[in-house]
Amino acid sequence: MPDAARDRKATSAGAPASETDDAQAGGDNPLRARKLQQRAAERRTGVQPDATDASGPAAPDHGGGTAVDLSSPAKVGDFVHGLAAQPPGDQAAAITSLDAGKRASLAANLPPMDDVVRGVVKVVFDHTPDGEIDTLGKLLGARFNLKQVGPDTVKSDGKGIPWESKGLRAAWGVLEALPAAHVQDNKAMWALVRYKVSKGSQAEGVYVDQDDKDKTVDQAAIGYDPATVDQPDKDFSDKDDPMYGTNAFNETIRHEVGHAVDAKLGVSDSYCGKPEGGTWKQYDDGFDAALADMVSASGGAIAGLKDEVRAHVLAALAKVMKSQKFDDIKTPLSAVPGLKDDADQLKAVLADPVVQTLQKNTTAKSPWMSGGGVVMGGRVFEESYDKSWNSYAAEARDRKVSNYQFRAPGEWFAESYAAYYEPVSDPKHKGAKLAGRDPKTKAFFDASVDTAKPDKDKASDDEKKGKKK
Amino acid sequence: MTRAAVLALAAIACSAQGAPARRASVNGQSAEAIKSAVAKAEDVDAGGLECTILDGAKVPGLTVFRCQLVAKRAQRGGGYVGVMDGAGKLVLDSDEALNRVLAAWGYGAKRSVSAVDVARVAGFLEGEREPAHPILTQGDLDALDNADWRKHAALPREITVDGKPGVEYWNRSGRPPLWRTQLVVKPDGTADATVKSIGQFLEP
Repeated sequence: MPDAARDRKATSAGAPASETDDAQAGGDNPLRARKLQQRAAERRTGVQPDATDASGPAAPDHGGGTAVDLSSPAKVGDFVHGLAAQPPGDQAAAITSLDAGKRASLAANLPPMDDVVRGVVKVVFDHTPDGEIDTLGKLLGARFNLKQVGPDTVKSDGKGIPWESKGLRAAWGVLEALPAAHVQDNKAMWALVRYKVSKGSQAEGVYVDQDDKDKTVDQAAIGYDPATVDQPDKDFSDKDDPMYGTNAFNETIRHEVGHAVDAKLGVSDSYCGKPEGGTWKQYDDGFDAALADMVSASGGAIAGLKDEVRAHVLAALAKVMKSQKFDDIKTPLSAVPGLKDDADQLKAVLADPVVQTLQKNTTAKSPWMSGGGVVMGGRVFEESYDKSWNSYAAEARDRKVSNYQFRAPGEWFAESYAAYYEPVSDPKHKGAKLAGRDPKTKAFFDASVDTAKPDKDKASDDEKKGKKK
Repeated sequence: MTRAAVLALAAIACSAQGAPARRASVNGQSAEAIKSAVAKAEDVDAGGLECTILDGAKVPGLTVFRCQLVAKRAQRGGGYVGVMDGAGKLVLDSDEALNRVLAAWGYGAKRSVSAVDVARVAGFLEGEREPAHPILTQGDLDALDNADWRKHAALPREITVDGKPGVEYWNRSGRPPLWRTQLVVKPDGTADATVKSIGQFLEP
């Protein structure tokens, strides 16, 4: 229904008789009609239009104006609740009639969120001009219980820059569609910040639990060029993956919120260890443990070496993993006692899938983006991040929603999350993107993620922010 | 001052007598000296940093590096890229660091170094959130497992955009996975970068 029609319907159906009467009683006298409209607006919102408005051009006043006092939470509360009783058209007009300073004051003094306030805040957000970025950020922060919506201050994320309206408006739509327990009632989601990327960059993000000085920040940081906000993603998925072609900016917001939900629920440490979650195993920089599992999975030449020689080989390979000198594994192996004088044995070791894994499944080569890389004994071992290793069951890729999902258990969950909450035309089919590829995980989301309990004490934890974990 | 500012940290890089530290290094700066300087500049624990010097950067007077917060190793983020000069001056803003590099080369219409040399350093400096790996050789191209990607990616080359000299190269990281950067050097010697991710080259 067009706004105008909806407004008319709301007015005729819901407005108090006296307001309607006042508004209509002016008859053919425009001046009297306008004054009566003003009186009606004053009753609705409890504020008087700015005097200059009253004597200015004959534009209808909707209860805003510069004279309204929005200098305290109590006054803003009165204004908001007065506005909430009005038809959408009047709400919008009231917001647009405020000046920038008043809108900023409104955003800074909002009362606690409830359904009524949330509804009005959305109207305020929608009708705040694009140039009022601080106000837009404050409104988004208030609506979603985020302490900071602004430039990223974590220096190791890169250079923080302010948001702009296109990104903020898109982010609002994404956050609004997620469960409250994941955003406003999630203690692991405290800020939505932005960092600089090059012109033309598709959206990317970082979830950061602690800043560079170990202070808790629990923030989703997004880097994007506003020109790419509407861009479909074709970087992170194969054409037949559910996430191929979905909006990259929206997916990125959901993905980073997914990390915050993971921080709250611990899914990547629990579900991801199960077969339906990919049977992930995390080693981080435990190179010796990773190598032991690799050798076991491979069953190649290294496993068949004498104990003493194998120990030397594994020590040499652990050094390679630590130094990330993957391009020349032959040199350190050639110096290993038991191999340096046995060319055949050296050749056999170099052909072991363990060595091939170290050559190909490294973060520099991003094996998760192209088929998974080397598979040994049904498992993929990979350097997910610099010097941080994981492994997973190769068969799990048959259920992938994107290639990036198989970078690490945390990414597995964040991508699953983004797929589950990818909008569908019929709300009854929530999770369809995930269900189409991985019905077991979709069922897990239905039962354990979508129904997550809100952190009721998030607000009281505010004072803890900045303290070390 | 922001990270764009040059941070004078000579005290870190110099010995007690004031002489520049000289250890196994590139252009006079070692990874340890850089680690100390970055830790001081960013007020983080030096023991929690790992720093890597870019081999083969060949930038007169500058050492190009990336440092990683060890605590953030198992995730994206937690990195610092930059350059340090022989006197210990540190630049931790990637854009400003690149401008310093271009100035050190005198890069412009003269094209004082090869496109590969530019790509090696400029691509490395794009690795703020996680290390970036510019495609510099045919071997790098051949290592791209995705056939659709191989159709588009190419070796670094010189370009001219609106009369301004520049370099075009392809770069990789964990996220984004592969992208093309066009670096254009303005008359004042500073650079403008425009990127385009691999997905935007693929057919719908």
